[in-house]
Amino acid sequence: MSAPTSPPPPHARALWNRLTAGQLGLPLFIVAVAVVTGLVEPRFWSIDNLLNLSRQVAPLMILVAGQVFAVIAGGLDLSIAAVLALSSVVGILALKEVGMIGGITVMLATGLGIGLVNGLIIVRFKVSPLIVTLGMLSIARGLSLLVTGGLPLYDVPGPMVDRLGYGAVLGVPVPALAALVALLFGAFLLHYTVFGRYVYAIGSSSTAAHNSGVDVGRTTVLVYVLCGGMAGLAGVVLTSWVSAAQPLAAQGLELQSLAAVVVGGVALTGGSGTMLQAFYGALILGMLSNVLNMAGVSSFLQTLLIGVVIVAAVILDQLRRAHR
Amino acid sequence: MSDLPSADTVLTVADLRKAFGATQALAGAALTLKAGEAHVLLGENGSGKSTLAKIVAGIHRADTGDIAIGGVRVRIVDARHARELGIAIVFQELSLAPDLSVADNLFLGREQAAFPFAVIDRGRERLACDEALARLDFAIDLARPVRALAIAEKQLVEVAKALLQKPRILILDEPTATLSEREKSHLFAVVRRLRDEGVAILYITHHLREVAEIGDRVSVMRDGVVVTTRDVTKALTEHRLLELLTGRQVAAEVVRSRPPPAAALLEVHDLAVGQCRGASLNVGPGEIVGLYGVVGCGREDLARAVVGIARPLRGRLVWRGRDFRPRSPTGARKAGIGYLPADRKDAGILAVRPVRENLNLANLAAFAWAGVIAPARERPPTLARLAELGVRFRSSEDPIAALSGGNQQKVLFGRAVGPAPALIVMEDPTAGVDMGAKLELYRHIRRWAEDGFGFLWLSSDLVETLSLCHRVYAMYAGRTVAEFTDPSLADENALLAAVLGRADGPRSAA
Repeated sequence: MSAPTSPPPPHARALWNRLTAGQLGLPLFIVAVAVVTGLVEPRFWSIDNLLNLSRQVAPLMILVAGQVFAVIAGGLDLSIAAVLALSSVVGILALKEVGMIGGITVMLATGLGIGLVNGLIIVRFKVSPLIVTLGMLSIARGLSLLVTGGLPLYDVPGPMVDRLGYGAVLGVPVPALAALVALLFGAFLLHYTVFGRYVYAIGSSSTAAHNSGVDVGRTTVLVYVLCGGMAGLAGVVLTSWVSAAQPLAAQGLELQSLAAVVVGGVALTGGSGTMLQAFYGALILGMLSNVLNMAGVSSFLQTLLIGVVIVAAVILDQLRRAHR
Repeated sequence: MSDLPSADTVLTVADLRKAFGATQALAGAALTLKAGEAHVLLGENGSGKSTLAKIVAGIHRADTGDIAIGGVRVRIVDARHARELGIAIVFQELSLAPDLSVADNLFLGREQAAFPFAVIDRGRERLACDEALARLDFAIDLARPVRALAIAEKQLVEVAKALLQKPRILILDEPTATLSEREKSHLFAVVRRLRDEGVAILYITHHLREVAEIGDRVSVMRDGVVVTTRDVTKALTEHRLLELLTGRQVAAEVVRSRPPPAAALLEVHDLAVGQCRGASLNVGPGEIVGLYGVVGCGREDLARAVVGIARPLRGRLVWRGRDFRPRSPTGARKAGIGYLPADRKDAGILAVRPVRENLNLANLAAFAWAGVIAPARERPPTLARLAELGVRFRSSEDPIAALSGGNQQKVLFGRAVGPAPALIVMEDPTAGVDMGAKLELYRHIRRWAEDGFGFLWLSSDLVETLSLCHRVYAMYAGRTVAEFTDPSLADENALLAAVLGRADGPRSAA
């Protein structure tokens, strides 16, 4: 079948394609960074640091588990970090009245509720998710500043900090466990349910999905409810870990979650990508900041370097698509 | 048989080869094109005819082979270079920017300005546009965004765009796929005029009928090579062409069987929606009912009301004896109405998703329990259904965009019938589909009809409508104006007259 004149692709090219196809490339990159850092700075491999890293990346991981749905469905959610902060402060305020379990429930419900509002507005008024969630970012941030008067709330109950923030099950920190559960739950929804299949369909062509009888509106609303719910969960985790509910918590984390999704190789155009890719992306971003911290790189330079990684990842992704 | 280069040969292609990955799209194709001829390049989808055209137009580069323009060997580097050589192409898949106006689209990439920030001389552009559109006898508001045009109008804008280049060689890649008869004859008139002006026309199609309608010569392509080039004469029958095209003996058409009389599945009473202003029809189980009319007659609006996309202003839909108001395709599907939309690329396929997901999109309930899909339950029936539909594919996990148009359409047909609806509404299901795939689709539709499924069939292909349908309604200016029971090709003129609003046609009023 092959053309007599065109040479067969060399093995090097085949390996390059495998590497850049996202199945091997990112895990290898992650391992390489970990190994190199370990050589330069042995403290990286210390149990303490790894446990710390797993707690550090947990909120981002949880947000990414929601964000990836919005991106695959052809949209995005910019409000999640602000919703995280709002859930956190509202939950802590409510906690005084309704107790710890009640407070945690309020946090999750706040996230779900705002997600529902996002989704309903996007679907009812057919407005772009970019604008709706950008507005919601400001609304949620404003609300959390209003209810707290701009000051952090430190009255996080001890058991919450001890059990959730610093607790562990079989040696695994609870925040990391929460992130793992969020990612696995998301992966299950995305890859094994009708809802997940519809998310891909809508991201690929919402007209075609609509024509085929997919309830595009309901699925879209659910996507943003899921994003909000994940933001609420991330709020619970972050509040317990830092022992405070801060109205300005997690600023910029919505952009990091988007960056993680893109770095992982999920197309911003929607319709493709996996939860595993999103996980790799979040892990790379989380690890980089941990590694740079240990190497004593200034936070200014860190911000710059993370930007370089994001842009490089997108270029690599584009090259990969062109190769196919 | 005139394959030797002569003085009026403007394009010579020799031993052209091109591979896409493992697929050898062209395997040594050769062709000559003379000034002032309409040369039909006939081939099924996947035979390499579009690839040949795209190489000549500079979209793809050949792996090997020679191209000569006017006797001079050239190496066409890109589309701009091809344009400078006087080659213009009208694509099968439209390449218009939907949000720009008609005028802006006509000049896209060739704005009358020398550097990027120069002010566009819209006055001069307008004059040139008017001239090109006048050559096409095509009146359209230049300021309208292309998004708002019907597909047929977009097609004519594409042709006008090509004409603006004043080409020596004009390549038309399946331009009639979405045109109705009237627009088609209009386009043919334009093509003939251009040919008489000395333009060399390479007309790519898989419609056998168009060979005699427009061609001076015909080249038949199969498996990446031009198997024969012949002068178009009376002796070259469609049957002979079909044999050349498929490389095998072809049996005569199947005779259709009447379904037993039964209560109507769907009744439409005096429906007004969009451009449809009072149409009535009915479809019974086991019946293939055609709805034929020119662009703008409102038949698409009627179909969209039936499947729940458009809301009727007036009139009644009756489904299985009960009043029926579908609010969305989801609702229509639940009631038992499947839908195969026109515009396969934008409204049909999920381009980046696997064939399997595309096939099962409307039918996931069959493989899911409490919303969870069991891969083990999905795969076997998927492969069985793909085999049944005769889809040619490498892996059911490949994106559907990797399939040819005909095979994509078979998958979409499978999607529409997947949840076993009682009625399937089909808009132009055979547009851009090659002859082999078309015959297979007809076979499937006949078989499903014999099993008791009803079809509402909206096609732009008159011959296919008359030979496939049990009944055909003619639509004109938003109304059903005539009904043909047991139609045959002999009804062609009567049906055409009816859809063009001429009084001499109707056999019976609806």
